Amino acid sequence: MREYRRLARLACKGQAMTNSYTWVQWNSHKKRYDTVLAACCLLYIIVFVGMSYVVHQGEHALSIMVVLIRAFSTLAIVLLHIILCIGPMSRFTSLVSPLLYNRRHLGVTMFVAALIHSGLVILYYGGFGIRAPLPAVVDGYASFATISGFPFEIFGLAALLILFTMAATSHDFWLAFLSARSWKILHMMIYPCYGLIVLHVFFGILQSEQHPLYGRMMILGVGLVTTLHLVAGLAERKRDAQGLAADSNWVDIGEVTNFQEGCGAVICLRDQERVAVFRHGDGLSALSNVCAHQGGPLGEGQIVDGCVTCPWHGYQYLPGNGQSPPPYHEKVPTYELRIDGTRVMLNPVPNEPGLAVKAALIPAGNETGDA
Amino acid sequence: MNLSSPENGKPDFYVGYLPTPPSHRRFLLLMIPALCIALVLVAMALAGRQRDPGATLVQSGEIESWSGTVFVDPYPMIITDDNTIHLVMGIGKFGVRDRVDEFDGVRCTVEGWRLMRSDRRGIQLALEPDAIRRDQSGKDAVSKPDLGVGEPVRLIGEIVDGKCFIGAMKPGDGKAHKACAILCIDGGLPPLFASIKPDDFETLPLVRVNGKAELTGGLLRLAGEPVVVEGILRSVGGLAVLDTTPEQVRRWVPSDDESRS
Repeated sequence: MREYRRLARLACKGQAMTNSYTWVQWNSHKKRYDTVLAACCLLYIIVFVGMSYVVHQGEHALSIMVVLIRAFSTLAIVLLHIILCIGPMSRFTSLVSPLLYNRRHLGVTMFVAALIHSGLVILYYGGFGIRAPLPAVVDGYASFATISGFPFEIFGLAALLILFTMAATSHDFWLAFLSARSWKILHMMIYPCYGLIVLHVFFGILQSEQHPLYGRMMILGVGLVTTLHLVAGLAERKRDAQGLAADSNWVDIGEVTNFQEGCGAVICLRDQERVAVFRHGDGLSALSNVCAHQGGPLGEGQIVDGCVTCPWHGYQYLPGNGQSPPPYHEKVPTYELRIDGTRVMLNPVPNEPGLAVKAALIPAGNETGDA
Repeated sequence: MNLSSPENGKPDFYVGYLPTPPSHRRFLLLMIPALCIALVLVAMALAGRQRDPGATLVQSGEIESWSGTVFVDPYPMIITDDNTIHLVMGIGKFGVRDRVDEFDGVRCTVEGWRLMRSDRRGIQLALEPDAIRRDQSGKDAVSKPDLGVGEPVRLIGEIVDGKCFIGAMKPGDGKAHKACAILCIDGGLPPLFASIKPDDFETLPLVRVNGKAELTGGLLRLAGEPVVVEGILRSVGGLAVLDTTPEQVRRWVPSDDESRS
């Protein structure tokens, strides 16, 4: 119960998981993260603007609005690439966990940069004329039949609408309101959004700024994002394909000594959801590998203060029943385990989320999995 | 990648609301400066490769005044005493034909802000009602310039709006500026022709379609993108004018001959 009280205390300070909604559940890490992020964005804008006036000076100087439009657009694209790379990189190393933990702040920052870019474009190119600014930028004067005449602004506007939807629903309130699955599907829209942005760049600025560097950097970015996703995706698929056959009541998932004290292990079952197995003290417990918050891999987490802790955002569950400690309400399915000699056996049929299951007790003499 | 902690043998485990483990702390201490350097390099590379918008001059601040003879056609302009032609344009993306109409062929004083690119000069007319008024100096107005004979040409380039391209926006051409160019020309600003040959930029002829310096319908859509224009290039009192028809303007495709006849 000591752990429960500690977590409840943390929750009251807004430091741990969500049981009430505030704009941002600040903690020292989030404050540092946002400070560094804001400083990096500011640094980028200052360098971009400064460099623009170093290269073209005097009568050749670019208009400040054009420079700002380009600075914010390229910043948004750079941030989007970082956002898209964090996910697959986290499959290769846990070192990027601090970036993953606050990825939503990065996403909202990217949206703000894109919004500033769009606002400046609509004001500068569409304003001060005989038509309203937005229709002036995206109206039907353009031609859909050619690359040079294609209204690339439409791609940008569609991407901005997706980014707005994602930024507006990024809060945990919407996660609970929409359900984790629907929220996840909604936020997978980042991939079509990325495609729209690539098209926006290709049909837009690449048609007038023709230095090969721009095209090459875009290709490099798309290549990096695609490659990372493909490699990570194929590795995960291979892992699932090599999963254990769950065609009997009990599946042998290995030696007791394979399970390290306080650490999780991911068990892949063919054609079934993955299972997270944890060794805690003298027992072994199994939960669904899918965190109820955002689907994080619980089996890659550890036991912290007696609770299974998700590596993505620190959501916690009791190993015995898959329930978040009070006052939280999240639940994940549990699984039954038993030990035959030195082998750990898993019943592959998941229990209802939050159903208590007795831990499988480890016989004396099998403690080599301890640290 | 396992990052074992020396204290308990367990891999370092990062949780956002708990103290940062040593391996993650070390990674962040390396990654943040590296990210800053990468951002600086990317910003420098992207900003440093922007194309030169060309040498233009746009005056801001104090209002300047010019005296000379005002003509409405082929586009509102003033021919000053040194025989220089200045196109007269409005604030924002509007022409000023309605303000200039009554002064056609009259010696006037015009107040506004100077725009200039190469030999093409413009004036952004100030908003005050008397920013264009009859000149009281007693000097005579010059006669309306003759329409020169001209020569047939075939040019490849871009129809730009005369205000942005000669200095109001830099760059004031290209795909990114297309929507603005359409809005400007539709609002009454002069369509100019910027050839793809840098030497021809200096000419910047005023595009006149069926005798009018305005684009409508499908032709307006072609502003801001590469086109081939056939027509007669002539000089009207020193102002280069490209007379053409809608049938003689078409979208340029790479297979087109780029030579100028």
